[in-house]
Amino acid sequence: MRLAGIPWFAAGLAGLFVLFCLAAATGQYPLSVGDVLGALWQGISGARGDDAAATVVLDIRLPRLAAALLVGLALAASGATYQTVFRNPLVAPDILGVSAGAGLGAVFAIFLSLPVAMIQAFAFVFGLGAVAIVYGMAKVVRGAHEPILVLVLAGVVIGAVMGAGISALTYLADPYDQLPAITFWLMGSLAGVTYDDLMAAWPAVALGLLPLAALRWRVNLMALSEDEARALGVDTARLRVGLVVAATLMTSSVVAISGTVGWVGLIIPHMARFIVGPEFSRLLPATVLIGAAYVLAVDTLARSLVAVEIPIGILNAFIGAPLFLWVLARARRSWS
Amino acid sequence: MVVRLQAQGLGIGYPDTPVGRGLDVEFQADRITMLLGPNGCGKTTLFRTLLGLLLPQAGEVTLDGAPLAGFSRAEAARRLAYVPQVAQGYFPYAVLDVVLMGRAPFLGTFERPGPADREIAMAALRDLGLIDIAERPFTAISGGQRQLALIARGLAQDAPILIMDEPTANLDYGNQHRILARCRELARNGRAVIVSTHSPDHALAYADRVVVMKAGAVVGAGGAEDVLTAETLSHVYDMPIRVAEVGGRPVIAPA
Repeated sequence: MRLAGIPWFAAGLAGLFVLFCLAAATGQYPLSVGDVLGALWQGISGARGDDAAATVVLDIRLPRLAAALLVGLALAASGATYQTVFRNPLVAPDILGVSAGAGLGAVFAIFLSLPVAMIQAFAFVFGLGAVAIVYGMAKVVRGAHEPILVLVLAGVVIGAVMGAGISALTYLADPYDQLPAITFWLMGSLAGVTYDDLMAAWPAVALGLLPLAALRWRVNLMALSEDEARALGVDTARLRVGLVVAATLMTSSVVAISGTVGWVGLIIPHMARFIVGPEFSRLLPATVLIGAAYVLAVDTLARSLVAVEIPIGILNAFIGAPLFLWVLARARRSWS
Repeated sequence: MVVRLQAQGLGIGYPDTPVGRGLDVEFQADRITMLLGPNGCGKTTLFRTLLGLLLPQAGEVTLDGAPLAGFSRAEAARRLAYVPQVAQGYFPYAVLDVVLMGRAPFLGTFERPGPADREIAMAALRDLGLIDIAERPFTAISGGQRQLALIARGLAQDAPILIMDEPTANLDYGNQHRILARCRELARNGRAVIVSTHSPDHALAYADRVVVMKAGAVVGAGGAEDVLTAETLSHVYDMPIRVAEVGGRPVIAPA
């Protein structure tokens, strides 16, 4: 199926905005969509009143909704990138040990009782560090063949080591103060996201997304075999490093604010591929839109389904697992 | 006779596992040259070396008279097109998108194919009779069509030298001959076409020149009927082989 680019993207964007308004109206203090639009207008125009709607929307719900959009688009876009670059439709941000590495960094920072900004920095450094180690290992280990397979296996190994590190820190953590924070964070939650978190995360996500958007056609060539891509004039090693660093930057910066939100990077690119096909110039915008919408919807359910908030990681796993099975069953044609 | 691609005293393989040495080969414009040899004799390794994907262990490859090592990847790709064997593992790209990838050597890093590139890709598809399936997923068409689509990508690459790795593998009898007839036409349009094959019959029917390899060495090169004798073939494939004649044309058969 092929769709013309711009009108389709505009329609998707409009749909996302409608969803966003509905999500902003949902919650323990119910608002009408009109209230939401009014509050948003107050926020944009700077002429802020102190009515309840403005407080609820701008101070309480907006950072969380924005975080949901940011987490969704970042994880989905990096998942689509990893899948194309590693020619493997079952790869997700986890495969390079990125999520586990960023997770270990964040847990380490929580363990040291560091402020939020340092949690971000630690997650980012550990996430990139995990990829660098995985890539270095793969370079040392690989023989003449199958660098991709070696890379993926190295990712699994490093992911396991990082996971052990997280377990060790959890074991050592102060059970009254740090452990609940670590556990809650590990489950994944957008409940505590602040404007400061957002301000730290969005430039990093933008910095990762920009090269992906600029390279959106060339990324396709990475889906070919190594020899084919190089015979078409592509410097595969450089392009791969660039794309992986960009995707990793996006993943680790949102892991730092939301904890480990699984499935998104794996499932969303498949759903987007159903609709627009694998061609990356179309796949990337579709993935970004659907990823943002998915996390927004799941997080809204997480905070409004029952009186007590369900951590998004738990709800997401319950929704994501069957969704993935459905994708798997339907998707025999999504890859060959 | 214009020699496009040449190698002398070429050593191929990997630092710790040499595959062949002392290879002398040349490939000319307007000619289809077929490369024969048993499994594991180094055909694919030779191709990878000729394409610049693998560094020579000795000697050098010259492309249009200049060392291949001096060309950038994109410069080499504008002269040398590689048509691989049809492999699994593609995402379901539309056939047109696959062919458009052949334009990569002409595009800047951040550039996307424009209308002119699309026109070239469509022309290649038209040329190979694939225009009706341009929008179909590459994964949903037949093996013969996939091979043709990869050849179309090679044409879109607009390179004067086409290197094809066993384009007839996995194809039915009719498709094998259609593909090879097409390869010969491409050579008649001024290209140097280099094709590896496991079928001496194909070489006899379609090749202008043949190169025969065994255990990493060239054991014969020249006109097909001169090189593909019962003696050479028996030696190369380690079994008694005879060359018979059917309707005035040589045919290979086990002796």
